[in-house]
Amino acid sequence: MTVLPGRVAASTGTSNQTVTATLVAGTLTVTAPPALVTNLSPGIDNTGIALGILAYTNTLNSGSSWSVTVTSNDWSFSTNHILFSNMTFTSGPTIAGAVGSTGTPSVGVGGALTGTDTTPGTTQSSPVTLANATSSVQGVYTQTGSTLAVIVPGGTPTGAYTGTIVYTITG
Amino acid sequence: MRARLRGSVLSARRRGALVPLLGLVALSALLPLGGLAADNAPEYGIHAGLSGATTLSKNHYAYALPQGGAPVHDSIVVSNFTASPISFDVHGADMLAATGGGLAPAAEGVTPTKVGAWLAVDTATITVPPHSDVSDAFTLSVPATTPPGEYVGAMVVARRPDATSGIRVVTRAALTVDVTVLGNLVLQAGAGPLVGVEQRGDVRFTLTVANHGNVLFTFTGQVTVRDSVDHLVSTIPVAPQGLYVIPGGHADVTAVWHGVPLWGSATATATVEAKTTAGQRSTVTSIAVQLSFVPWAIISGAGAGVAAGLIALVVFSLRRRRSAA
Repeated sequence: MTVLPGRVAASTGTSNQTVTATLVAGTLTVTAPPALVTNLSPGIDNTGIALGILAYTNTLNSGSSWSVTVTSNDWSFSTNHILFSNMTFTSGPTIAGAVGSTGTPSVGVGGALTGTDTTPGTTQSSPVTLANATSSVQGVYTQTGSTLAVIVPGGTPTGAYTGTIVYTITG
Repeated sequence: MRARLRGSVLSARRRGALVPLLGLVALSALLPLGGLAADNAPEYGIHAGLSGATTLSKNHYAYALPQGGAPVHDSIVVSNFTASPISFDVHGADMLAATGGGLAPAAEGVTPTKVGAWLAVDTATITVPPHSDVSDAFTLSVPATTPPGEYVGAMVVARRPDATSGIRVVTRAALTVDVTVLGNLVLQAGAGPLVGVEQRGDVRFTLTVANHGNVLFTFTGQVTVRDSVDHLVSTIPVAPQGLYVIPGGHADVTAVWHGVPLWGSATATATVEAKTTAGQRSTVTSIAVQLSFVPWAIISGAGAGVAAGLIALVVFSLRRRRSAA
């Protein structure tokens, strides 16, 4: 018996791959440079202090408008304070969305910090808006070019001042 | 962030010699030494515990309760996207209107008096392991005497700062908590004052939108400009659109009218349409603002030209008389 090489008839076939994709819950977050060092001079308005890149994410799709704000307390050294009312935040003019983002937040107006300073060195100012967005704006964004100006009154003692800047995303 | 005030250790004599240079020294001291974050990837994130698992239109944290209703139990989930554990403070807070529009929870450490006081978390400080989620339960208890209306607060997750000295940077993420105590809900928006200021050939309008009712609303709006014979000249949407205004709060928005006429007058009014999450709508119009345009630069230039011509004519006449004499 002669066995001839087998030959498979030409044919087409299909193979199904089952895919299960779970869309996990979105998230809300803000990331700021952890630290910023600057030297200030007394008797002048120290303008243009770069605040670095502020990154924020809103993928909650919760149907709520959302915003990014900033506050500060007084900066203190011993019993001396640089009041938050002497500080002005300027919102970074450039907001870029990562791939997949829908829409772009509006740049906030920024402005001088205000509020009732009940406990100097502890009390945070009223919030100032760096960015606003409607509910349809969703994604991952970076805002660049934000700056801070600090008026240091003449005669303010020299030293290493401490304080806290707080960035908040609310959605 | 460290802010260091520069001092001088120069002797009085040297200091005197260098006084003219101090301004330059001060300016050079303004170099921002802060570094950008090496990686802007999110370190953490938050979402509602039942996010995606309910049929509520606002996804979550929107509660409609009868007066004296039973407490509500819910949760917030904190995710750590990094390879190191991160500690957070979790708490309820009252909501504030931010300068420039938008909302923000009250500052850390501020004792809440409204919605923030109604929220009690199970664990006020949590540490989330690397690449993990932690759910923190909380209870909303609305006082039985709370009158009908819509109340807004927030669940706040604050990342504890790494630095222990210098000027620290704290980040917070907050989810809005929208509590409606059922009863007579009143949508009452206020539009105004409307203020117009001419700036380099444009008019920049600012408008305050106030919430005099007891229900949260968002709004859209526009400024309508008409000329002296009531013809429509321009319709300008206000920005930003879609801001929330909490009961008792207000938001400031702007609109810019480009290409104003050189001469003439106009009237501007702002119209705001407020809308609640339940779909209730209300439209209000501000008091009209009168605008007048006079080309003072051209008039003063022309006046100066005429005056110069007259002076030249007088001088020329005097010289002719002298030469004739």
